[in-house]
Amino acid sequence: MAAGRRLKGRAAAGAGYALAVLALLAALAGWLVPEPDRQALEQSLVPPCLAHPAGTDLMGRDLLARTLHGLRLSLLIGLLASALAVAIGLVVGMLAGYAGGWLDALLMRTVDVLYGLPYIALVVVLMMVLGRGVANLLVALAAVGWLTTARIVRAEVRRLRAREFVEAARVLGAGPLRVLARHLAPNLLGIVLVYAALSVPAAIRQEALLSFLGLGVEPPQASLGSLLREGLGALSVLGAEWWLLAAPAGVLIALVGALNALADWASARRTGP
Amino acid sequence: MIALVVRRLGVLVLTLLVTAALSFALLHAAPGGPFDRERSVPPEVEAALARHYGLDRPVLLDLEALGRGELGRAFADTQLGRWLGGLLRGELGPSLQHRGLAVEQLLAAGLPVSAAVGLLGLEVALVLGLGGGLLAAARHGRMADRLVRAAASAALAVPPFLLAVALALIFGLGLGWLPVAGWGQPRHLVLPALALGIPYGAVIARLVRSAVLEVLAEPFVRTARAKGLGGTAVLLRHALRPALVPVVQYLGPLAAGLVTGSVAVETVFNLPGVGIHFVAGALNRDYPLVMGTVLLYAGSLLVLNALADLVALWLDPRGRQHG
Repeated sequence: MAAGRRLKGRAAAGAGYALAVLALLAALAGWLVPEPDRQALEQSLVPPCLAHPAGTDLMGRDLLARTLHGLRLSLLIGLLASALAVAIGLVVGMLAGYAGGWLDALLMRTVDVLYGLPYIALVVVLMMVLGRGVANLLVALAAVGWLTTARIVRAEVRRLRAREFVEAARVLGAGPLRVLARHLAPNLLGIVLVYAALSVPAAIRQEALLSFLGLGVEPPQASLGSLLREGLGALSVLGAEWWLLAAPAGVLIALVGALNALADWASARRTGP
Repeated sequence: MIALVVRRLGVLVLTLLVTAALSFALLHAAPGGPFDRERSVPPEVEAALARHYGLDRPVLLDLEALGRGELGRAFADTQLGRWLGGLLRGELGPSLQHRGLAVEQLLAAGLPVSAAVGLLGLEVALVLGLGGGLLAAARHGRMADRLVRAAASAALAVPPFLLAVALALIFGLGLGWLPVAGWGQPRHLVLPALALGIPYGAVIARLVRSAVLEVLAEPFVRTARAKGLGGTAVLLRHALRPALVPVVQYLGPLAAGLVTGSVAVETVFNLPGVGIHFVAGALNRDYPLVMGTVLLYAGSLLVLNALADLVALWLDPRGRQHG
């Protein structure tokens, strides 16, 4: 078992380096490759060369620039959507767990009902109603993504509520809001942060899927999913223009793989030997 | 046990009702009426159309009829009541995008395709997952174990829609072994089923591997070995059944994943299933079609979840005692 954990630790370290490189590239995208939308129609579908290391697309846009900017957007959406979802779940879970009674029943039955529905179908419906765009994508992903956090937090609050330190705080005259904010929230931080980290790769995958289906970001803005959609659309019947898909697919796989490896390592550490 | 079943049924009915109500609300909030045309229509024609389709009825509740004490007319003979009644008869309304076709006709045509892809994907996932997981556990710490784990990690790093694209490009366009699009022959199903099943096979392989390893450390396995049973017999006769419990618990999320995955896979391979209508409907704001699909997805997911629960109870009798 120890060998297995060491192996996971080594994989996690590699994943950490990969992630750091990807994050750095994303952060510097605006400086390294400033013009992801510049078209050069005479340079349409140029294979990878010195001037365009990842080739160009149908409209002659540099695919390296578009991929790095897409990486930045995908990473940003993944992080913000999970943060938003976890925040909603935290508030709902704390309310339900601490209040109990009818409020708890109402909130948790809502969670049950939403749990029974296909997640991605709800997000697709929301995107249809709200329209495409980054802000709407965040809202749609967060609106459906908070359910598991709410359940975890509620269970944790119910467990903590019976403990002496909460009773002591109440005896000292602290109101429910103060107990929740000052005494329970700090105890929930660890579990919530771990869950937030675990949900980032899922959010990135969902953004990629939605943008790939044409329901995510709006063109000409590039995300890893929308680049794959455009690339597949521009691919000729024989599929000779492999570079249209290579860069965005490689970056997406590296990103999700690195995040997965870190998540595996984190959950293995949590469960212990 | 009975209380549990009743509660699950309650949530199930509630879920369907909420979905139906949300669908109705969305259909009403959507901009544009069903009879909006470029040319203007005489008001009396419009009124006749509205009367014919019941659009002149109150939306939620007929207060006048309620005042007269006619409860049936007050609640059932409203737009909501008629819509719910139609749902019970399996009517989902006309599609906006496909003129002259009802949503239920489109979905009925697509359902066999989606069900075939989904079931084959489930088989792929179970075969790969059980086979890979057992192999890895039996060869714990050796080459085969490492290979299975590396393959599972790799499969999980590739988003399912991208896996579908990769399979289509490699085996369809590159090697020319299998068709990349179309429908009608068994070989059209091979790549979609693989694309749908492989990611979940990876999850199941991990579950089975760690569960079998846990069971193999138990005293009763040592007893079985002491009896003189060989490795394979211990694995299949003693370790497999308890190790199936986490797999069965995963069946519910798996069903949801297959439904979601089928949308992506059908889009990539251009299969005439339900998912294609769902995506095209969402892109074109065909509200009745999209909400009909959501209802169908929600309904099938609820049925699949209930089946998964029953299988779990059947396999692991300990769950039966909890009320």
